Amino acid sequence: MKLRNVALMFAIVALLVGASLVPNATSRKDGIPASLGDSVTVNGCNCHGGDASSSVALALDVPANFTGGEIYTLTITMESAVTTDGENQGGFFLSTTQGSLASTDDSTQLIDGYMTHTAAGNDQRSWNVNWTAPADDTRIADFTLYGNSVNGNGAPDTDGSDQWNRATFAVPGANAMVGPEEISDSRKVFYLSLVVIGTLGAVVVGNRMVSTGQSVEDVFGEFWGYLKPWLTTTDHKRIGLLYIGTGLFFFFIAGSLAMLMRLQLLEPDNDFMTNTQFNSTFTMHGTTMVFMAGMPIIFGFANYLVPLQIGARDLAFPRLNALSFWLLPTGALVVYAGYFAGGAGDVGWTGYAPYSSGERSSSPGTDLWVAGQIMLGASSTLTAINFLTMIMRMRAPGVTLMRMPLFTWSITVAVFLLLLAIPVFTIALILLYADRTFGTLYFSVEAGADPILWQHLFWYFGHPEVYVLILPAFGVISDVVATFARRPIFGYTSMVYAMVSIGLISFIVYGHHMFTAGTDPLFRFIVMLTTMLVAVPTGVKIFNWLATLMGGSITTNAAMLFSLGAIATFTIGGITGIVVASIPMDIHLHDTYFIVAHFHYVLIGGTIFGFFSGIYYWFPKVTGRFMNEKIGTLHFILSFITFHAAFYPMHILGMMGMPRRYATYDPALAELNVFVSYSAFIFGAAQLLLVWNILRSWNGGEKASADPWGGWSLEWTTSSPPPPNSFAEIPTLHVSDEEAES
Amino acid sequence: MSLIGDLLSLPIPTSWEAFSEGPLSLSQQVFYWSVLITILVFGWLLYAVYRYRRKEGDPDPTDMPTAGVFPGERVNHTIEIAWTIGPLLLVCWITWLSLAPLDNYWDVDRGDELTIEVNASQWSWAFTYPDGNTTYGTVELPPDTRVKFEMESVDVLHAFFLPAFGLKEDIVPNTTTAMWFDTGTVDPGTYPIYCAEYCGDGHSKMLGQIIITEPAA
Repeated sequence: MKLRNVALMFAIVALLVGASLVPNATSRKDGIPASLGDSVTVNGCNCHGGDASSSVALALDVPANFTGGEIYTLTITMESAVTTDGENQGGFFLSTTQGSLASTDDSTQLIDGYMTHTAAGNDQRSWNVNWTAPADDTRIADFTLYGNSVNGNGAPDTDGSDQWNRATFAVPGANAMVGPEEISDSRKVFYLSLVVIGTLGAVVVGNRMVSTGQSVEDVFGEFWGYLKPWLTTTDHKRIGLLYIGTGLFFFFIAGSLAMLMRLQLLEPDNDFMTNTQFNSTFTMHGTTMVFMAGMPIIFGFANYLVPLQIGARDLAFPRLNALSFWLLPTGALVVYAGYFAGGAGDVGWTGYAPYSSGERSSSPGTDLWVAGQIMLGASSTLTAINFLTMIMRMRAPGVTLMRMPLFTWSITVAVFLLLLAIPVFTIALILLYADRTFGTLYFSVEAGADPILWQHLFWYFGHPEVYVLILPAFGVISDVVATFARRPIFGYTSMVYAMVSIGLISFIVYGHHMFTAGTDPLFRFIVMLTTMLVAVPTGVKIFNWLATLMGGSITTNAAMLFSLGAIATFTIGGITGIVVASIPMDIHLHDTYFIVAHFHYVLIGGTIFGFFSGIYYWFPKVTGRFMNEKIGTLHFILSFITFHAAFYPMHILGMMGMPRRYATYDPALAELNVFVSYSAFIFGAAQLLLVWNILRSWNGGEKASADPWGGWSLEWTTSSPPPPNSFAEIPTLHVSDEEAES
Repeated sequence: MSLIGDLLSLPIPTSWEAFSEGPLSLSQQVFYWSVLITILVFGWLLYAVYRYRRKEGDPDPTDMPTAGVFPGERVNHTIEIAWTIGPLLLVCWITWLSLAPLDNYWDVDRGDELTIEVNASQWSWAFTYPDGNTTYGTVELPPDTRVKFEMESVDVLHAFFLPAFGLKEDIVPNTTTAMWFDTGTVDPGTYPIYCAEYCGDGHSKMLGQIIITEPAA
């Protein structure tokens, strides 16, 4: 190609570009047409001179903030030194990033989403337009306004006789976060001191390592000697204690979150928390209680006790067991990192899609919530495999399946449920993560996905999951009640069958969480029937416990009291379970406080009370010392009374129609809610008695023998605390004389 | 109401009245059996703990467990079968009672006199009447009319909950769900509407009102 042709082409291109930039020499009396909209957005009114002029004052009377969905009338006014005799005074261009604009009269018109003047409106310098705010009041609406004041000669002048200007206005929604939050001075000091301490610590340690050639272990000295075994252990007893410690730690964290919610609910329309904060709080409370408090406490007990109860030296895969544990604090850190990433997850512990998969749930904490949950799911799956292998393959002589202690049986059923259920949840979470992060469409209803797919996947896991939480508590209660009644458990075989059948039924009842979700009526009927059936084996267990007491010699110490309290409370929780299993009643009670009351009766009254009983019962085995009985009894009495005071009224609130997950309530319900809140505060405070009791008894309690309570299972045949390898030699479980004869 | 009165009350929504008449109705049966079983369990527990409490100088039970020995089984097949069959019959009975009221809730054509389209979005309610008019937040219904709500969501899951009447149905995107309501069963007046399925930031503020007008005199 010749140079001349290239030059020519450049010239043509330059001309075309220039032509597109050269002011369009037509006046726009009847508004800015769609063809010019983009040009105005980028370049302004450059037909009338290249630069905006500050001599033109533009105003738009926007509200300080907007309420979602409301319609506002906005007045545009333009003041300028350019004047005319009244006709052809100028025009405007208004666009917004949120909501929609509409005309109020014939002086304005809507073109391509922006407002501009009409021929009639060309004669004035003030216009009214309507703006419909977006439904989402967490957004910020940005307005861009151009006003052009012309001299009225009917042609665009670039010589300064026409003047124009540009202005922008931002209107935050009532719940929008505006700008980065100011960090308070006290926080700055706190952060700064953390940085200083961290830096100084690194300098001191590093200096000693370099100057004296010591290793990290040497520098930390005795402290390292204490810390290292805990960080590197594969011993089931140490891992068990780590699990229980982590579980109790998160129990108090999640409990504090519950206290914050009850503070918010001390009065209707309280402004203690914003809606977003409240939503994050109940999400983190539920998630933490189930996955970081409940499950770890259960698997702590299982880790410590099941090998002892079946006479095994350790789990089948000790290193895998350590991995399972360390995934727990790691996953928990990831979930909690949401608080430092701009707001913790706010999708509820159930994480219902399509809300959780859509762009509306944009809190960065939700991504971290999903990621952390995947880790916790992996941890549970590995644990399940580990326990099943051990229980099936590593029982000591004499420990046949039908001679395992009931706690071990309960863990057997629980890990079997976990193995079948948790992977489904993990897969659902991975799909959700892909939706949120890579833009896949598994749960996208816009793309035609099944809107209740998530509910099926979640509850297929979720219902067995709540039995994973309650069955081990049944196991603890069975062992404790028999021991303190000084008699064998009544109906051992039927207890085992009851637990196994609860486990089996748990997979075919999950639809009762979806009675109002528009599912098939036949599906609803079937799950109503199967759900009702759960009451049968559960009733067998309760009656067996009560029958165990008969003819016994009953000691009511703290461990026994908590077990008896759990039986009583769980009975009420079971009955309300039947109430909500009945579809006509559930249609009203679903997603109200009645449900909140029901599952707290089961999970606190059953699981937590059961495991508190377990703490008092097995503490002497773990430490070789008793816990203080007086504090323990006081702990039980306070907990039992305030638990019922806090949760019984929730049944009534639910019947009155108070929905769960609301940051406020009908003012008529204020008295009950205040009563619930104060009872909950006392219940929360009473749990500190347990911490105090554990701390003072750990080294200072009365000494305990190998079998202080008179239990029969193999953990009582080894010393208290057990030696590092658990048994001097692998024990044999003998059979009592009557049993041998029969 | 006082706090004590509140704590002792069992408030029921109007739709439950259909199955609360007489001692054999669903809600009364559930109530009686709940109370009976609670009294049975609590009474038995307290009796056993008191009657068989350990006293100084008591002899140990003869079958007291010892460490390392499986204690054998206490069993009484008759009584175990009894307390398996008993609850089984009871829950079947409750399930049977639960079926009849479902006619009021499930998708059956009963000659609806008025169809209202409900459109839920984050976080507001829109109601479209048969004449095409749309209202936001408030729906006004004539008395003594069988109303069918046809419900759609434009974004996420919601649930249309009328707490005073005990009616609730999820609103599911991509699907039309329906709920029936006979205004003849309730008094004229203004009642709240809640969203009962968690739907994000404004969930607790997704409120509305349902107005049942006075019958023309």
